[in-house]
Amino acid sequence: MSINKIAFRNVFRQRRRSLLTALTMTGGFVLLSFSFSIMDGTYETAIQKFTKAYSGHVQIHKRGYLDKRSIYSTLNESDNIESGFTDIPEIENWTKRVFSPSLAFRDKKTSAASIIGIQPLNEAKTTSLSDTLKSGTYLPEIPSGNVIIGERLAKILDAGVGGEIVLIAQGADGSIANEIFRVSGILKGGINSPNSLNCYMHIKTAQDFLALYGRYHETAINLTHYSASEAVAEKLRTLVNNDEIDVEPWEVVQKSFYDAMTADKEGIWITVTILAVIVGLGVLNTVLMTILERKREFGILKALGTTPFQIFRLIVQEMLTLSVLAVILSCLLSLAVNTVFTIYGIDYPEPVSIGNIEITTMHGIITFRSFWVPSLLVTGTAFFVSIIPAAMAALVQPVKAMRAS
Amino acid sequence: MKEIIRTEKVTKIYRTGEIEVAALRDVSVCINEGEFTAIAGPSGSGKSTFLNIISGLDHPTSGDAYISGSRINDISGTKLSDFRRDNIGFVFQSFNLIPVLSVTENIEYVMLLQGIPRKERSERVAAILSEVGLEGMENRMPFQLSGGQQQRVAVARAIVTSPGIILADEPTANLDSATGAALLDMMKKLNKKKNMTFIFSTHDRNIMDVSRRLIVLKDGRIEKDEVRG
Ligand SMILES: Nc1ncnc2c1ncn2[C@@H]1O[C@H](COP(=O)(O)OP(=O)(O)O)[C@@H](O)[C@H]1O
Ligand SMILES: [Mg+2]
Repeated sequence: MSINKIAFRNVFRQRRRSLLTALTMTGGFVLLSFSFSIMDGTYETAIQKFTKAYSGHVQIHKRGYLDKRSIYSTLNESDNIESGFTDIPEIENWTKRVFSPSLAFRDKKTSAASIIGIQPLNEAKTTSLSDTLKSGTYLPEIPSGNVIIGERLAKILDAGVGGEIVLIAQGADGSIANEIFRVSGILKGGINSPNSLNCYMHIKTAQDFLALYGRYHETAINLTHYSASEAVAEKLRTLVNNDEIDVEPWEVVQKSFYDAMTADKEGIWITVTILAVIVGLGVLNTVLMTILERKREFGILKALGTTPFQIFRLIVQEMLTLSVLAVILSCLLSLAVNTVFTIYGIDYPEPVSIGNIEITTMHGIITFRSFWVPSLLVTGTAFFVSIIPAAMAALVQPVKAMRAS
Repeated sequence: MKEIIRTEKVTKIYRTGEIEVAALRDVSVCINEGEFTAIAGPSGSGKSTFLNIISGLDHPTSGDAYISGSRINDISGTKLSDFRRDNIGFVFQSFNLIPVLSVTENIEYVMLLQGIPRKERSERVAAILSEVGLEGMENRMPFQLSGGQQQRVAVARAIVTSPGIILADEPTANLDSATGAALLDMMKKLNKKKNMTFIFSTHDRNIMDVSRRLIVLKDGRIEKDEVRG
C-alpha cells in the first residue's frame, strides 16, 4: 500500500465522473491525433506530388546556378558524377536537364518560353512529366525536333499538336540560335500552372541548339522517400567531393514551397490550444469537485500525520493516473481511426490546392507525433490543472476541514 | 505518576466577523500517564476545541498546553505533524476511515507514514485485530462494516503505533448505546492492558460513567473535575 495505490483506487471511486473526465481526455486526444494524422497525411501527399511533378528530392547544380540561372553555370557529362549513385540505396532514379530562356514565334504571335532539355526516359521515371500530357505524345528517346509545350504557350501561339513553332535563344558560344520545332504534345495543368510556358525537348537537341555540347545544368534525383533528402544530399556531397558543385535537398531547391508548407503547419497549434483548454476545463471540474467533497477526508489524513506534500501528490497522481488510463485507451482508438483514414481516405468535395498542387483525397498518415503530442497534451493538462487545487487541499487545516461537514 | 498533558489557563476565542465565541476559558488541567479520562459536556461546550488544542491541531488564543513536558506552541509545522503522528492516536466521531482502503490497510496507514517495514506492519495488524474483535474482517472495505465495527478499526489504527495518548472525540456519538458501551469497554480494557492514556469526549451520560476521571465542561469552563473510585 502506498500513495500510488490510494490514488489508483480513488480514480475508481467516482466511476461516473472519472469516466466522463476520461472521455473528455480521450475525445481531445483522438481529435488532435486525427488532426495531426490528416494534416501530416495531406502534406505528405502534397510534398510527394510536388517533388514528383518536377523537382525530385535532391538536385545537383554548378555552384551558384540556383541564384542566377546562368546558362554558363554547367556541369560536365565527362565528370560522370552519377557513377556512384547506385551505391546509395535511397536513390531510385535521376535525370539530367538543360535550361534556357527563349522567345517562341508562330505566324505573328510571340511569347517567352522556357526551354528545358530532358532525357525522355529518365525524366519519365523520375517525375510525372510523361503522365501530364493533355494531348499528343511524349518525347521519343532518340533526339528529334519534337517539343512538348505548356498549355499557356500553346494558347498564346495558337499551336496545336503537329504545329510548328520557331524558337530563338542565345547559344553558349554567343551565337543566336534559331530553329523550327514541331509540337508533339501539350501539357495539362491549365494556363496558371508553373509549367505553362515550358517547352520540353530532348537534352541532345537542346545541347546542340544552345551550343552546350556535353554540358548540362541540373541533375534531379528521386528517392525512396522525400524525408531522406537531407541525409542523401549529405552523402552525395561526400561522393561528389567538389566545391564547385552544389547538392541540395528539395527543401532548399523549392524553398518557397517548403516555407509555405511549414507555415501552414503552424496552424495546428491553434487546435492544440483549444483542445488543451477543453481538456483542462474537464479536469478542473473533476479535481475541484473532488477536493470539495473530500475536504473532511483530507483533514483526517492530515490529522493522522500525512504531510501536505503527500496530499498534494495524492491528488495530482489521481489525475495523472486517470490521464494515463485515458491516454492508453486513446492511443488504441486513434490508431484505429487514423489507420482507417490512412487506408481509405475521403475525397474532398472540391480539390484543394496546396503550393500549386491539387489534392483530391484527404488521407491520414500514422506518425509518431500524432500520438506523442496528444499524449503530452492530455497528461500535461491534467498535471497543470490539478496543481492549484491539489495545493489548496494540501494546505487544508484539519480542524476546519473536519468542522466543515 | 507522570504527567503527560497539562494546560494552563487555556483560552480559545473564535471570531466570526463581529461575533466572538469563547470556546474555552481559562482551562487548566493536568492528566497523568495511563489515565482514562472523559471530557463531558453538552454540545458546544468546548470539548472538541479542548482535544484539538491538546493535540496541537489548534492553537490556544492565550494560555499554554504541554505534552510530555514540551510546550506545543514551541513545536513548529512539520515537526508538529510528525510529533502528532508518533505520539497521538486519533479517533473521530465519524468517517474516520479512508474509504478506498481495507480494514488491514486502514490500520496500517499510520505505520506506513512512519516507514515501518511491511513485515512488522502485518504482524502488528494481525495482533491488533483480535484485540479489537475484528478477526476475519481484514479484507473488508469500510462500507462493508457497521458503524461500531468502523469505530473499532479507527481505535485499532489509533493504538497500533503505540502512541502515548489516544484522543477520541465523541467516538460513540453515531453508535447506538449498546454498541457505544461495548466500544468504550474495549477501550478501557486496552487502557488497562497497554497503559496508554485515553482521553475521550462525550455528551452521553451512560458513557461518561465508565471513566475513572470525569472532566465536565460548560460554556468553555471546567464545571467539574472528579476522580472516581
Ligand atoms: N472554527 C470555529 N469557528 C467559529 N466558532 C467555532 C469554531 N470551532 C468551534 N467554534 C465554537 O466554539 C464553541 C465550542 O465548540 P466545540 O469545541 O466544537 O464544542 P463541542 O465539541 O463541545 O460540541 C461552539 O460554540 C462552537 O460554535
Ligand atoms: Mg465536538
